[in-house]
Amino acid sequence: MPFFTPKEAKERTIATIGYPGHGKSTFLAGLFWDSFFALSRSFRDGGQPYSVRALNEEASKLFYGNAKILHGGALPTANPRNKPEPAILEFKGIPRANRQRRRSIRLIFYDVAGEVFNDDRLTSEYAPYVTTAHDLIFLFDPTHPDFNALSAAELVDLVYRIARGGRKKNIIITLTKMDELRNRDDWWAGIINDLWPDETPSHLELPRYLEQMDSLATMLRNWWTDPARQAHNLVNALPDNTRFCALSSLGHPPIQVDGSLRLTRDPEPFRVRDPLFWIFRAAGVM
Amino acid sequence: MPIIKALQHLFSSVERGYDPRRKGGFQTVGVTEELTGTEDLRALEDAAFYALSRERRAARDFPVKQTIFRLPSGRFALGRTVDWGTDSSGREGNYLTYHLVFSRDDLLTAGADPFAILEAARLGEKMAEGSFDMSPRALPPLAVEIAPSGIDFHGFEGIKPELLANLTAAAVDGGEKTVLLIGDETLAEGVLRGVYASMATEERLRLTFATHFYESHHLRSFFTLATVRSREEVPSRRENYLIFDLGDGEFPRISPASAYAGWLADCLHSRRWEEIGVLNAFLDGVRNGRGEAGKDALPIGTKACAALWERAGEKVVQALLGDVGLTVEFLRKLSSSRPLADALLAAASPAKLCGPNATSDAAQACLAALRSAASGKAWREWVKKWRDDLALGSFATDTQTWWQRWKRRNE
Repeated sequence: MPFFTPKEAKERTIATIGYPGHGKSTFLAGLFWDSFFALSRSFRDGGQPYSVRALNEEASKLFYGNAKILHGGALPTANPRNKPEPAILEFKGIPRANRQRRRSIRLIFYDVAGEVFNDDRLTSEYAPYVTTAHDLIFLFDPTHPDFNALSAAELVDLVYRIARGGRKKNIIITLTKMDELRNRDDWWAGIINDLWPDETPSHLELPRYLEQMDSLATMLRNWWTDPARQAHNLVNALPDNTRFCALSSLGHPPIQVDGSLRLTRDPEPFRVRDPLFWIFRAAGVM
Repeated sequence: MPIIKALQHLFSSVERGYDPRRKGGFQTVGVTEELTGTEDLRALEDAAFYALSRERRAARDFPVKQTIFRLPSGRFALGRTVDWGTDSSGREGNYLTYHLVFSRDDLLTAGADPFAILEAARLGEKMAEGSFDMSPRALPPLAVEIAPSGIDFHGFEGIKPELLANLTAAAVDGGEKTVLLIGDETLAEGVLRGVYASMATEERLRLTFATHFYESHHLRSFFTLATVRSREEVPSRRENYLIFDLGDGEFPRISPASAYAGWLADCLHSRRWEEIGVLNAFLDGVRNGRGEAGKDALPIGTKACAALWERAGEKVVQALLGDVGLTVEFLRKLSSSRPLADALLAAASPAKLCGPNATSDAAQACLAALRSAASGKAWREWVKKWRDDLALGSFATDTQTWWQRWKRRNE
């Protein structure tokens, strides 16, 4: 059986962008974990079942490697500053809302150290793929001491400068570590708590899930422009079709054991699939 | 013992680094101000890279990475990188790199043996201290006192002579491909120390290396030689590497491009350790003006003569003056002896060339060899210039044709 059928397969390049410690590597690990363990189970109701496959060695090292690390109760290690190799995943059996036909797509990921987004030169040198990427996923940890509207907008502007002149982008602004934020005492935490725990949709539930993504995106746009964040300028400068997400890659916060972060149980990602589904939708396969 | 100046550079993942504008992550923690804002600092940051396979991390098997590489300014950096536990957010994978930057001249003064310099600077001890200061700061230049290091070939024990010969030829000549040594890190370091020991000081500067090259293909331009522990750690783009496997003994056959590499490979192949020491000491001596150490014991094989002439040219000419025996040997052994003969003629008079202690027969043999090797024009001009020189007189008389003697009498 061939690994993929070139005639049918679509291919998109994904750039995950974020400052050090804001959850880029853990997001990619959680995304793979969710597809491998949860979506492959739920998207089995008729038609070709859903599956994800590492199409090259780098993908195997990155995605299976990190999944094994998570399985062992540890977290993906800090990325050294490196020019990352493309890690290609093939997704098959992607369902479409209200349709029987299943589609396939290949996504090319790059897992890069966060400090390369410290300045233009480093970004150009170590993350040149932002120019050619179809989808830019910005990841922000709102619990991080460095997080605020200025630092977020500064990062978006930096990538805009580097990627300007490249192809049109599908931009996804993502808040990470919702497991920590949901315990806060405000209306926003209540919304997250209402959606908690995560429920993996089946094919039949997909239309409702996609509607939920739409309304969550609208709410998150408002979260950014809330007086507490004052990110109007950031949101105004983004394209109208920018998508907003909120997720937890692990589902629960790791704890410190002898100076290292450890998981107390297997990951239970929360809405980590939302950026992936936005990409599927932008590609026209979902 | 020479004392040389080193600029310092520290790199790790920290919450706040030397540049306050940068956010957390891998960055320069401390640096000597002379390096700030330079291309050299960028290169140091790029080269301060350390990755580990999941298996090695799980086994808590953390190799030490030692490096030497050339910086854009022409200075050289010597580095030591170790695993540094967790970063400020508690993730594993942090590392600490300590670089020392030297001028080319200082490195030559110190013998250009990176292992000896790293040991003299006690980087290993400093980095092993539990209370290592990781606060962002300017670091003063460091004075490093270098103890003379002996020539140590112990690292070659148990390694096939053919592999050593080809490895050294590849390391000396360099080339587009990076030499990649596969083997246990301790074994590979021993071999690398041996390779350094087998080279003259200036030749060592051409050899740059990293002792842990896992996932480091993007740093290939920094290093002429790199080591990895196993075949699993070999970069996927193998066509860019000359792979020497210390484990199974596989290696490519290298045709030495230079006479020096050819001589050295030959010595290593037949384990002529003493000859290596003598010739390199002589080369070092004549190059730095400290005299012609070991001249009497110089190897005078065809390859040794070619290596000396190639590497020290004019300095060899000066060393040969007054030593008719050695001069004759060189002229006989060099496959292309004309440039040496012409250089000798241009450098000295017949008396100086033959020296005060040469016997008549030896002087005659030397001049005969010179005449035979030199270009006709150079010889004629030299003879004309020094025709009154006593050392030349008898030789010229003995070897002149009848019409030359007749012509000279009538002048």
